[in-house]
Amino acid sequence: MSMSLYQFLLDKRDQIISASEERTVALAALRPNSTQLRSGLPIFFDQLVDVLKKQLSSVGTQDECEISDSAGAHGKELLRLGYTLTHVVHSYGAMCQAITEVASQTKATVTALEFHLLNRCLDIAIAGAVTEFESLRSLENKNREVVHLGAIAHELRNALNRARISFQMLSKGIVGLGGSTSKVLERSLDDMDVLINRSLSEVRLRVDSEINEEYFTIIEIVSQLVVTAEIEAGHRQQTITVEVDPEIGVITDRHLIIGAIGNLLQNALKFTKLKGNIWIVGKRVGDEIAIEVRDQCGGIPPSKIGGLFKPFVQQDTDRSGLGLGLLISKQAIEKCGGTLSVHNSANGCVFTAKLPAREAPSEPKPGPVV
Amino acid sequence: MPTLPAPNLPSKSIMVIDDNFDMLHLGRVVLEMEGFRVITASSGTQALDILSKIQEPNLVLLDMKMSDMSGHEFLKRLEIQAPTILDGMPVVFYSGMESVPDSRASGFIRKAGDIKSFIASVHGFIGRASPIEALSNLALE
Repeated sequence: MSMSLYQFLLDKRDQIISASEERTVALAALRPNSTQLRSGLPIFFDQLVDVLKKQLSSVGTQDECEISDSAGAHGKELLRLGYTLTHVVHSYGAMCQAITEVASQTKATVTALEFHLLNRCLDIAIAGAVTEFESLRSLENKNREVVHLGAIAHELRNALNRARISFQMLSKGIVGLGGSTSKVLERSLDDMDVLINRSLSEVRLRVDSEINEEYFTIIEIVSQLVVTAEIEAGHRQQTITVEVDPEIGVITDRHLIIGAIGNLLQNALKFTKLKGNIWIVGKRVGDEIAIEVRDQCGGIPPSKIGGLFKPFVQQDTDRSGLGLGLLISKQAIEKCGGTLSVHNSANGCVFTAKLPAREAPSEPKPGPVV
Repeated sequence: MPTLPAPNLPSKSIMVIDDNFDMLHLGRVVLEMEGFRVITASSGTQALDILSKIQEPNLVLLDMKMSDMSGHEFLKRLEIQAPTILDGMPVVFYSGMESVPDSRASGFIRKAGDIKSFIASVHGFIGRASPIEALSNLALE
């Protein structure tokens, strides 16, 4: 059948657009759709038809700009609806496949020039959509970083505020030393320490390629973390139960593991109801050490579990989750050669960090007596 | 020096709402030292419950961000619970933020870590000192 690609596209418009939509819907899975998103590919299709109609040997500058601009709007909409960069590229690929599929079914022929123009239009559209998608995503990430920095500063200021008020009360003799206000001062300084350590953990995770390996037992770090956590638990009338095999240990970066488990513990305290229970369990499972932090948060809807370790995801309105705690924990554990997972239990969540088990290095043997 | 409540006058009451227990403790100590009666609530939900059962306090100091609801959410729920309560009971945000968006709150005291300016601001809002006097106290800091 001898028919120009232009005429073929004009005749088969609905069939091709419908086939493209089918493919993009399959790619989108359960992601949301919108009127604007649905109009994206038809707009491109009509632009493509326009280009072919002109029967030029290349795509004109004005057509290029128009295709790029409308593809940019399509890319922007895909980002807004939570699609990935892969979807952006595949959505145009879907249309290309639909065109070739319908052409094959109807035995239509496509000349080399038409094929060149089709590919060029696709290139322009994909480049326009990807550029806009990436540019906006980068801006969103920057904004999130700023919000995150602001949240850390806000938390630090709150702790500093409490420390300053406590210090003034103590230094002016309004309250006596060694009482509850001294404890507030101590806790405020501890809070600042936690925030600074968490920020430094983030920095280390981003810039340090090496980890400082040393042997330590799990009970060592858990005991250290529980001392601070029990103060907060006391306020919330929560109970922390430690069930850690004192013999188990690992050879890895102590500070990264303290940061990771500390974040999990803070998370458990924050989301467990008042008077609830938190458990920290450490045990050997085959060749691995499993550290479990169990809480009574009421559980996480299955649809949200997948997003739990994504940046800036907060499952509740509690402000103290700066949106990165669980992600930092996961990255830290993985950097140490382990894994971090979460599952629902009867009335809460269980976060499980697994690390390769290691024996304590043997003591150096005494030399021969001379 | 701490000031004492004026003789023969019932002391005024202030409710402090904050999900940080240490902040509640400090607020209580500082405000009681000034002669106020202090009621504390560690969540928006608890504060709504208390306000439904007691006589309205003379001032409410409200944290902007709490674990169960924001300060704005609290104000909305309070107005649903008691539609005219904000006409006679000033609610002031007490927050570490630089500023707060417009709302039905009567004002904003920044958590700046200075007891004298905090007390001066509280007096300003509660009306024991005129706003001008409170501002002059602030200017002396």
